[in-house]
Amino acid sequence: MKPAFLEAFPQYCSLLLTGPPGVGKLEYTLALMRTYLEADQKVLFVCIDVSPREVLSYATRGGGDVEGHLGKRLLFVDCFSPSISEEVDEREGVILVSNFSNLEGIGMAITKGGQRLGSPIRVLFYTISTLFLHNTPQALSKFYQIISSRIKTQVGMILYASHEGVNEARHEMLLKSLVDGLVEMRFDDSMTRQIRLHHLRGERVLAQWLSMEGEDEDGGKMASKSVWALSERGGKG
Amino acid sequence: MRAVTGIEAIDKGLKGGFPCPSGILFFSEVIAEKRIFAEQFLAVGLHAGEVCLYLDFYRAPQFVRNALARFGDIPQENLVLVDTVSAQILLPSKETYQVRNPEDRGEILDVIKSVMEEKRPTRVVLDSLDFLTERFEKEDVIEFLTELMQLARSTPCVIGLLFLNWSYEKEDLEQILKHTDYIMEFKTTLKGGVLLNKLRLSGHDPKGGSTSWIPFNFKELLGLVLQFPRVLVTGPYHAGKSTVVQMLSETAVSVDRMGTTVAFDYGSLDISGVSVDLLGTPGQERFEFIFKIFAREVNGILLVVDSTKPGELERAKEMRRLAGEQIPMVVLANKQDLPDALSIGEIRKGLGLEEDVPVVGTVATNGSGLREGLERLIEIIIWGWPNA
Repeated sequence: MKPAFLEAFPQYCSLLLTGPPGVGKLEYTLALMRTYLEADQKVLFVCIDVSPREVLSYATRGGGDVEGHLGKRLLFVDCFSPSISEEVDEREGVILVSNFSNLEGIGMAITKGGQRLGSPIRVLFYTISTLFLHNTPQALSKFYQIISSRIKTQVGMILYASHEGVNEARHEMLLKSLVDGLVEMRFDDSMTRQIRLHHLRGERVLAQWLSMEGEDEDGGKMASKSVWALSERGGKG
Repeated sequence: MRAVTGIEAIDKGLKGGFPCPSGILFFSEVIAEKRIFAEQFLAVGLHAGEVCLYLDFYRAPQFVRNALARFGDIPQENLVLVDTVSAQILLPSKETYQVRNPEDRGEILDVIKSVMEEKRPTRVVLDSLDFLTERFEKEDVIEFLTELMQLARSTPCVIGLLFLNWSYEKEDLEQILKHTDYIMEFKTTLKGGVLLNKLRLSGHDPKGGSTSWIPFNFKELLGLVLQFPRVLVTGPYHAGKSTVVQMLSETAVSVDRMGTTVAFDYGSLDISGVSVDLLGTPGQERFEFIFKIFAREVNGILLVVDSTKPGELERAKEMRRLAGEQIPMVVLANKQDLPDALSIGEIRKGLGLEEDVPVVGTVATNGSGLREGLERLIEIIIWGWPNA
């Protein structure tokens, strides 16, 4: 049976995940990936700050055969590896895009990956912040807008991770304004990690901070459960 | 001298390809598949033994080589790559030509200039102009473009620039667009999970016109193929429509009953670098509803008439009216082998056709005239009516 919290995020929507560096955005994103794959859903992971190899190795720590899905229900768009080296193995299930400035290339790779997997797909984008360092805000905003609308109308869900405090405040505001929902993460005074669903278009959310630390479960699952609990459907259930 | 694109239907309309020297902007307003067109343009030149230059701001030379390999074995000795990426990722370059500082417009131009002087390329692709528009002031980009076009003229070569307009407003954009002789515009949409690529060309027509939006796709080993999903083959009862579809097609199916088509004929073929689907409609009036369904969103019409039956020309006229007279059309004056066949002129008169609607004499049973008719139709679909 599908875990109920999977439905916390609709199949077609755009989301931003923000939080300071180190708060666990990658961990949360990986937990989502695992959860979706376990529930027979399809995932396209866009690597800007990490390599597919790292993603697979972290994800495997949570148990389950993530790598077994590669090329089937899991594809990577890898912009990271070609941007640091000229020699990159072309590998089944990995679409390479060289250069962080090649926004059109990234966009086409996501679109093609979407076509290959067949919708609905969960697109996980880690991270959008890095692209700000290599592109003008105008170009990046246009890219963000095109990709978000293309995905949520034709492909599925997209969740962009963004490092808080790295970009200019107005750019962070722009990122928040162009998506349907916002998931926030933070440290509280005792350095406990917390998460909340700030808003989600078309849904009533409770917007309370919940702890991400769970005793008997890994943080990511706990987190997605927390987010589910914060949506109205979760609140009722 | 002309630089062919490798897509026959486009080269024909360009009277043998892009003139040399000239500049083409491979342009899109949003994210679109246009790089593959530029790559094919270069690959076609390489296959023809021309020296070609690819300058990529995004991809390391090895990635460009891999991408070009999709178009078959490329004669490597004629391919010149300018490496701008090694410097961006702080690695030593293995290429003869490299840009050490991609933020330096002068150096970029100097490197291009030395390739042009030393290697005399006939085709050049710059991938892409938006790398420059996102880094330099508009005035500097225009100066760069002006100098680049001068280089193209003195070499001489055909230069193609990829350009996605990330940040220019209309007026600034227009200043950029007027620097090349041709603009090939691209659109990619995702519909029902399927990618749809389209292109259109302007600049070929001194009156400022452009081609229609032409769908295209990439086929392994074939390269880019233009795609017209719907060509309607229609005409009065027993004019020979099914035979036209079957004789033209590489694969065909017919839904018929006692020798006459009651539902439709379907066939497909590749012709002049265009992949065509033919839909044959039944001719009887009682099947008009099927005709109306098919006539929606058709790219063009082959109107088949029986040259021995002057009495049916009225019906043929009516069918054209039903489909819409603005839709590209070619008349196939069929059964020209029969003794009492009307002449082409008589058929034109009987149908009351305008000058620019071609009438082609055909004998569907032996295939004569059919391909010519379809080729003329494709020309009209892409380039518009000859005298429009």
